[in-house]
Amino acid sequence: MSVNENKVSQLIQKFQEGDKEAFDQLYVLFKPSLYAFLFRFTKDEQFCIDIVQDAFLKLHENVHRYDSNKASLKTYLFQIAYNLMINKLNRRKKWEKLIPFLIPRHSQTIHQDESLTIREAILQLSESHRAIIILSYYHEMTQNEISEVVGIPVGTVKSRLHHAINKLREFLEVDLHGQEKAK
Amino acid sequence: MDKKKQNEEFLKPDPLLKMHLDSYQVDIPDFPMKKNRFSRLIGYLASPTNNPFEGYVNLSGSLVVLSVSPILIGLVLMGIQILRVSL
Repeated sequence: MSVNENKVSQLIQKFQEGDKEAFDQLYVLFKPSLYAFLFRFTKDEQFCIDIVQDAFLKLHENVHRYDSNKASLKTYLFQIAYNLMINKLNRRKKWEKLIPFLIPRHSQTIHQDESLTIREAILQLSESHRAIIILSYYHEMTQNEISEVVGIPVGTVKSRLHHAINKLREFLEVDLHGQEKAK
Repeated sequence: MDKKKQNEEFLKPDPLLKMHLDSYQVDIPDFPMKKNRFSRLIGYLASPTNNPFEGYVNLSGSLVVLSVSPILIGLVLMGIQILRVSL
């Protein structure tokens, strides 16, 4: 167990024993990575702030259900946030169909002749591929952890990761040997 | 093998893709743990939305119709009132 994981389990124990400050420390510890995950996924600052706050509220309410033998707190928290985010995005899509002008506008159309930046390229990936590449590369999660967060089998994580990398290469116009394609 | 090495393994043949991914850093804003419904509402109201008249405005000549339509509607309503009084 790493120093960080040791500290986290101590903080959870303290919180379960009634120390409220321990939960504040958990927030300080996990807020940056959770926000970064959500922001890379949606690129919508206010939406991400709302989800981070909702995820910590849910964790606060359900912390007694958390079992450190099943998953790390990071995986558990990311799973909560991912489910909240997907539910909210699906609800937003439904409303968008009914009343398009009441939904905040965030997506940008990218012309085919423009080469994409990494931010745009990640956003161009489908939601299922986007989550996997972000969790894998930026959050150093194993394929088992990703499968728990996203709720899919490990085999699917592997194939989606492979597909996501190929798509990113395509969007960024990077060839298999790591060279920029001639334009 | 540690997690970082394991995750970088799949990008081994792609130094340029790795460089692109590394360049994407996120600034973390300062916000409290507890949500404030009022600030959420303000955030929602202040966010940009689609223009419901966008399709209409894009049609040639429809901008003129759109801009004079309040005057036309006013004239029609006025005409109805005059008719009602005179009858």
